[in-house]
Amino acid sequence: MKTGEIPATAVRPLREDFESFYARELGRVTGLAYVLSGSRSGADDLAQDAFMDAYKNWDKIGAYDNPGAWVRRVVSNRAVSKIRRKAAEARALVRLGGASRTVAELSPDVLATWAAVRALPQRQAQTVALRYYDQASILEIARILDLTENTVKTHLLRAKRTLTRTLDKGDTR
Amino acid sequence: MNKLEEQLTHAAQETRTAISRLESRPATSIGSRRRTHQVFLSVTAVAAVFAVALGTAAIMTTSTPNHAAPFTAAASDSLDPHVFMDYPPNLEPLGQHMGLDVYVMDDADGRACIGVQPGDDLLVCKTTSSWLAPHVASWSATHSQGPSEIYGLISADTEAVRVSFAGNGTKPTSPEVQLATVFPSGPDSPFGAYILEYNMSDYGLAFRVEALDGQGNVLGSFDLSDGCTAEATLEPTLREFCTEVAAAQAPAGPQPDDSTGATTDTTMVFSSEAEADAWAEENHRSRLEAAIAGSTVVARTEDITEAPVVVQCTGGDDYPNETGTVNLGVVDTATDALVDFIRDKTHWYPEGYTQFNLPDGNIVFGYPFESDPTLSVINVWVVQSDNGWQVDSWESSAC
Repeated sequence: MKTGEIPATAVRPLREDFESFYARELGRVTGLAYVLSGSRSGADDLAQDAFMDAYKNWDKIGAYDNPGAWVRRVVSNRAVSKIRRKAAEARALVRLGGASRTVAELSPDVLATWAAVRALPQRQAQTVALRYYDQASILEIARILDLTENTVKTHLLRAKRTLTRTLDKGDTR
Repeated sequence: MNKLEEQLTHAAQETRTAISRLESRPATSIGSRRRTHQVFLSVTAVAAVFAVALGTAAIMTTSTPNHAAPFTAAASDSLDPHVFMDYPPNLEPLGQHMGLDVYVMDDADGRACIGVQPGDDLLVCKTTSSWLAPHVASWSATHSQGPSEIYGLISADTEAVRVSFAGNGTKPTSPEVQLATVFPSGPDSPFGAYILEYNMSDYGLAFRVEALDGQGNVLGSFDLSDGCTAEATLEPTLREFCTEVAAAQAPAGPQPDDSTGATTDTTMVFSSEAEADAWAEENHRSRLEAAIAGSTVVARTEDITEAPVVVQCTGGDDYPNETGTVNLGVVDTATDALVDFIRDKTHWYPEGYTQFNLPDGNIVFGYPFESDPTLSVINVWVVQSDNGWQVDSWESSAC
């Protein structure tokens, strides 16, 4: 994807209704929340919370050029917040009655990669997740995170340096 | 594409595939998210019906339950053995403790215990030190620069949450503090939650959170006064204050019922922002006068070739340092110039500055950064003129 190009996920009909917006974006936004939070079940709640906020304010947010960017910004920020993440995980825990189950959907190397991303400083983790998981351009990331393009590039550069070092060492904590 | 990019691209592809696989499973076996989606749309449709019935589209938004419909819907689902959940091996049942079914969860952030009270469904979180009051069952807070938040859990009979603040000489600014969200509990959500958002850079830094019933009676409360561990540039003041608050008895008298109020240690209760402002100014003035009398405004002197760097808040570009120029009068000494300048800076340190003598004869007063004294959190440049000294400019961290 060229720099400045809006990802396909962000293209939408003019004044889209919430239902189609939700159906189209939910999977990608949930995945973004997962990559940044490390909790699959917590990611569900983080994404649902963000969509619920969008729904409650759809008169305003639906009129934005790119409501998907708004939801991504909310999820990106909340997913890296320990508090929001714990809240989402706690809700998921209670919803599931304290049960603990897992389905090994991702290979260990992928889990290790995302763990290394989450160990980065928050802004760096967000830019990496948006760039590689969400396939957003530099411009799109800048708009989502309300940063300049140069700042996004700097975060990505620093993140890659760190990731190269930590993943080579297998140091993903 | 280098090795790292390949690794990230591969991880992204595999993750997207895993997410899409979950979405494509039948609704009976894919866990809560798919069902959530379906029920969410149903709730939307119901809201739309109400909106039509009431003849206004605006009602549609306001008729939506305060707590997220998707969450409510998902909570009513029965357990699903195929739910993709990544707690194990991090989540371990520890059995019964204090009447709670207790689980312990380890992750990169440390260890937390979670207790579920059988029957009542009251969820209680445990910090590393103590069980918390049942009605304000959990707290957590971030103390970093920029917007921060407190999250807590509340029991089913909680109707409102009241938050009081303790200031450290700086003012609680109402617009910067808000109770962002209260998720009420209900038959499908066994506990409620509140999220308080505030801006740490403006003030600090102790909180009392009270859960109230429908009559305004206090069901339980929790004082947060020991979350002062972040590396804020005001940390020394913060720590001192929080220690005082932690050691204090419960405040007497009426408590402020919104974020414009503030309390300090045992007795101080502010009923308005103006009152808090006045207290902050008086507190700063008295501390400055004491520092002047004790000659502690400037703690030490050092010759230096360049002014120390003013440390930037964590967050880099998001929190640039603040700077300004000054045009105050000329006074006899450089220290007098500093004192005149900081007299109105009620959120700055009144004492403990280092006087750095520069080769050109001018002076920088720096307040050392605790973690690295070679850096400053505040620099005040004072220049010499024919008649004396005057402050020229300043720079401070934005924390």
